[in-house]
Amino acid sequence: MKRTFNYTNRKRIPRGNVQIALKKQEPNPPTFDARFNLSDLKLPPDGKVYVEAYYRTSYMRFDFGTVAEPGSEEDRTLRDIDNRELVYFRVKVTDATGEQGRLLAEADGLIANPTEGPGNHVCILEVKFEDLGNLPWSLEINDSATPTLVVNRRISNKEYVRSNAAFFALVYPAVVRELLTFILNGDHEYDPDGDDWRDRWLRFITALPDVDSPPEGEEIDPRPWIDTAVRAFCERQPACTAFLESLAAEEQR
Amino acid sequence: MNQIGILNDVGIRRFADFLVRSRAGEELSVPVELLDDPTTSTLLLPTVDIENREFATRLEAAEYLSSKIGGLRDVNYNRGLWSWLALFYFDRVCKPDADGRRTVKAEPLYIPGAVSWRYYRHLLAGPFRVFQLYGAGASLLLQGPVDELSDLMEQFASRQEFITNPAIIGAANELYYDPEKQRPKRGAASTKKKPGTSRRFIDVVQQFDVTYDLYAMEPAQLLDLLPREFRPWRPDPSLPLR
Repeated sequence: MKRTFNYTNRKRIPRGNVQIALKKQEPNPPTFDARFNLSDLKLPPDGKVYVEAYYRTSYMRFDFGTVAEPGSEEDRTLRDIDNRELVYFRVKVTDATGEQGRLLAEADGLIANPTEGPGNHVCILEVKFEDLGNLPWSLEINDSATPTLVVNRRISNKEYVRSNAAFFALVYPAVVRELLTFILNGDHEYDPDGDDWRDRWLRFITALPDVDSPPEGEEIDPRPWIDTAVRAFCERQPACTAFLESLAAEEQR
Repeated sequence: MNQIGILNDVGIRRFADFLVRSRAGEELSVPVELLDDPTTSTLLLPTVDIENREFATRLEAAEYLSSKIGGLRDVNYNRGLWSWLALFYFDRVCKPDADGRRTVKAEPLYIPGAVSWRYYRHLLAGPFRVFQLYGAGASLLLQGPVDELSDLMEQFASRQEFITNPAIIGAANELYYDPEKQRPKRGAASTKKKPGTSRRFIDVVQQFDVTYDLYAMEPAQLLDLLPREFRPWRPDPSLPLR
């Protein structure tokens, strides 16, 4: 959802303060655990905590007690969620005393990755496999959730997608370019301490050698900065060298 | 009576090819042979019988399809299934005129996109999903002929936080649906952001979303928050809201 003015000083719950673990239990739908640290946000102790799970048009909401006494419903089975691999979460704290339903703090677009476990690292690009016909890959990008690299189901080897040098060299530079173009053409204001996925991407990119802060202002053409950023990304891997080495290794086999 | 099938990649490609060529002006017969050719389709399992019948409205189509496949797993985003159903009901979702000519519309209305699954654009999958969520409580989005993509459907269903929120859908239904005439109120979906229209409703609710926990609300509570410009759209205040 497009965000507008924050008149009521709703607080942002840092993603690092939330850990969500998705637990598979095939053939049944997965369940999840959520843990969060809200102590440094100065929220009222009786603020009510909810965790919402969603994927496309499916949605479930779970009562997680209060800020002072967090506790969850026993049954946290995600039976109404349409996807068993990729589920987004939202953590909300609402006012229990004053204006009913006023939002005090929120973290949105959280992802629990069943193969990575909770909180091991901050994921900036999800990967999933879908039926794409003859399209090898595409990107799902929107304002609210971590972007997802959608790979053709026929290439259904997650390890290959993650670590194969040829796949990396041919796909990821284009992915980075598309993501940065989306970010810089949108109206997001970069917050170096922010938890929005766009902040995490810009933080990651600006930490690369020779990459300045992203350009600001509509009158500045962002393409030269994006070119520099993509080059720096490829240098760091290094994408082309690794690709050539993998080709040489293939030829020797 | 037929059994519901799923078009495979080959079947989807041939159906898409038919759509492209038809849109280019070629007069082709509908490739119904794809529906039960084993090289282009497989049966949905468990098997489900289906009748090739008329639907007066999207609601009627959604209701019927829900009675058939509503309880099954993995149907919501099954591209081959919804392509098969659109082909099976092609005379409903792309009606021929008196001369037998059809106006074939954009492909995603018949074949869900492989890349971006905007289910709500599909003429059968969209109403089915909305009906699954709200039943007739989302009449605002479900009234109207099954061969037309509703602007209101596109406005609400394309926003995840809207279509999954009973308070928002309930309030919109209350404001913009005329239960006597069984259709959206005149001007509700005006393309201009006139006071109180659905586009203004979306803007205002998006602003509320940063302030309130909208999922915790009842439709009546959300209606009470709306500014004065929405008053003319509300039903008689003396009547119960639901």
